Amino acid sequence: MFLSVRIILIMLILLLICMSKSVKSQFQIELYEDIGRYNSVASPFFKTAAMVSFQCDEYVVSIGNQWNVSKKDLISVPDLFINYTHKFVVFKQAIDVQAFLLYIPFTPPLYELDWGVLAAYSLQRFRFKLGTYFKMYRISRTAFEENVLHHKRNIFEYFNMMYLVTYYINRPDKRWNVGFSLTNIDHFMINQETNPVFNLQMSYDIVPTFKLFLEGWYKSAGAFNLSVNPFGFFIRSGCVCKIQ
Amino acid sequence: MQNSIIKTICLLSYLVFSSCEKIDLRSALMSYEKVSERFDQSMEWNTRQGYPKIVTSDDAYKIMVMADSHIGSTENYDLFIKDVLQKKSLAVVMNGDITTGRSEDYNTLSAIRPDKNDIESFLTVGNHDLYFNGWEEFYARFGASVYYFTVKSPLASDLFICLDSGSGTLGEKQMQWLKRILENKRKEYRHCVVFTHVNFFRTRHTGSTNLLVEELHTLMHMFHEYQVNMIITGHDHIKSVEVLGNTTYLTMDALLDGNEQAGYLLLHIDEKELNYTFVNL
Repeated sequence: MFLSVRIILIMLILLLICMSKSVKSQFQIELYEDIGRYNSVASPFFKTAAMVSFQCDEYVVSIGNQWNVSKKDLISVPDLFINYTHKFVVFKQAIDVQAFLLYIPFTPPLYELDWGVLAAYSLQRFRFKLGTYFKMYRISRTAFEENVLHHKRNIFEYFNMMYLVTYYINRPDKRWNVGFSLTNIDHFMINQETNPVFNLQMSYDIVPTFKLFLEGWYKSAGAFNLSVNPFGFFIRSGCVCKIQ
Repeated sequence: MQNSIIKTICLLSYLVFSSCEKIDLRSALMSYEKVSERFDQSMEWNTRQGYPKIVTSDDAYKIMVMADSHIGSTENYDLFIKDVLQKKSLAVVMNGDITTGRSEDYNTLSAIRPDKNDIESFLTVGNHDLYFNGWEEFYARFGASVYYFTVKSPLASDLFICLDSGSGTLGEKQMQWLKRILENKRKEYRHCVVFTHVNFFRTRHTGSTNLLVEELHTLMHMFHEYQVNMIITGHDHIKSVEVLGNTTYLTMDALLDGNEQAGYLLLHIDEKELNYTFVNL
């Protein structure tokens, strides 16, 4: 909870800085709730996430946190990410380049840290993302010093691939839209490139600055070269509020 | 532009799914049976047969482990078995992708599996063993794919757990079973080793699939909490060693014929330590 307050304070300071300059700025809040079921975790699970982002001209900074409220031994720190996006125009095409850091404390002594870069490109009905990331599984210093005999605290994975392909039924200027994605990334999850996730999404703009959305996510295990089994699914519902 | 994108996606999908004759397209889209069904059958088998217990009069003993022999051909498999008998291993573990999944290859494996009177052998299934409806063949000949066995030496007893990850997930039931075994039995044993086919980490870039990160989180937590000493996997065909806390994650070289680095793993267990050596043929 303390961290959440700190994040909000940081975001408010950034907002004031942005507002003090004569630039085109936008503040956005996104809230959502996930309800789902996986093979590997106590079911069903509930996750609540909050994200805030600022855009000043072509720069966007986003910060988010996610609480897994169904965890039996609820850990005191939520999943966190920070994301910096720079909007470029290359050959008259708008491309977003993102750098991010994702922290997932999945159990008190162990956590995952991911960092990487991602390029995003949109057409009228398609959205693409492609990038690379590093993953580190790490044991906390306290647990390590208390009862660990060996000397290695980390496992690294280097230069893995991130991707997203989304097809939308409508063009972005329509009030409602339905899309279908194939990806290995979400706000608080990056799977191996060989484990694609399928996502069906619907959104509706109640007013231009307030949008509701509903998404269904399906994960299968062993795609491409194993004997494929269902792994789990979840439903996400939430809203996005923009302040110009 | 958008039509070209759709065509490109279709072409890439076709290339991915049709690129390897060893892959059963049906399995790569949806398995013949779910991992939970294989788990249920394994538990039925275990109830009937019990969990194997090996007793040795030596304080130190060896267990030899191989994976990815992909029988069909048996040149490297034969060399491995020859080494097993020469080095007087206490038991042998065949850690998945032992066959291609075809019935004729299961017949070959049945014919050349070491005699139980010579040496105990323990098998786990890999993804290839499940292709072409291979689970039926596996179960009819070898039984459970999820079980544990124990080794009792004069000084202590050790616990060895075999898991079925041939579908890229252990499934809810198998996860719960594993947790129960670790919760109830781990304390009674000196060392604990887990064998399963699919490797956990992407330490190099291949098309081979791993367990999803959500499942890895749960497993890594369990292995840390219950002080599992070693996780032994195959699947990736090239050896690697990763250590996190007190748990060592090993991936073995494939025993596959024609593989320049073909090899296996030798586990040495003595009164103090659990050690390993990668052996190349």
